[in-house]
Amino acid sequence: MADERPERPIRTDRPSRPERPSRPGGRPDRRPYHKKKVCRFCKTKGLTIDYKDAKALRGYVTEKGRIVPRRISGTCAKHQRVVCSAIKRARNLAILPFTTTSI
Amino acid sequence: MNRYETVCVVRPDIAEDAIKGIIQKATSSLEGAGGIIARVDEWGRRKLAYPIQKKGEGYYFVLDYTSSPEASKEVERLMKLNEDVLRYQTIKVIATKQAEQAEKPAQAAPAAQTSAEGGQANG
Repeated sequence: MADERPERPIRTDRPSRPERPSRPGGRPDRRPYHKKKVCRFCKTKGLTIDYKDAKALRGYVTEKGRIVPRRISGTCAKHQRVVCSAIKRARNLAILPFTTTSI
Repeated sequence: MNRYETVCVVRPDIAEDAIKGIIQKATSSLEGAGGIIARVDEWGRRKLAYPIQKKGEGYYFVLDYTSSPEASKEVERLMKLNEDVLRYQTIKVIATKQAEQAEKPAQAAPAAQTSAEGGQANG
């Protein structure tokens, strides 16, 4: 149930932004439309997570080598744990970087 | 007996025979302790994601085996003592439903596959 709630956009108070025009209906601005993300590992049967497969894990790591959070990748909690441990195992073996600044 | 997987990274600048020797040592130690080696996968030279001991490349190989915990400990000890080994990591492979599903179609005939699908749970 809780998963179905649309994600809240990140709101930072930007001083340069002009005040929002108040609508006649008094309705606030609509949230941007978000497509519900589905966990790729739940959706595709037989898709396994392997720490030796650098190519597959690259998709779950940012350019700087950080693990992509669930809210971005859409992975479910269960599979995120597996992905996370796979990335950490791969890092130990220099298959994936800890950080790109070290190079 | 458990199933293990050991990935090992060796210095790339040593002789081919020396690399073969490391693999040979590990496999013979395992077999001596009653382990069964399923697969030795040599990836060969690969670029490292970050330098280890000032080396940008490493020679990777994977040992896939079934053995007692003591035997896999012994393999790790051998690698620890060898200075040409940059990294090693042993992982106990836990048979998951998903992994079994992935293996079954490859091994069994299509007829057996249908029976396997009957009992599968969503995992």
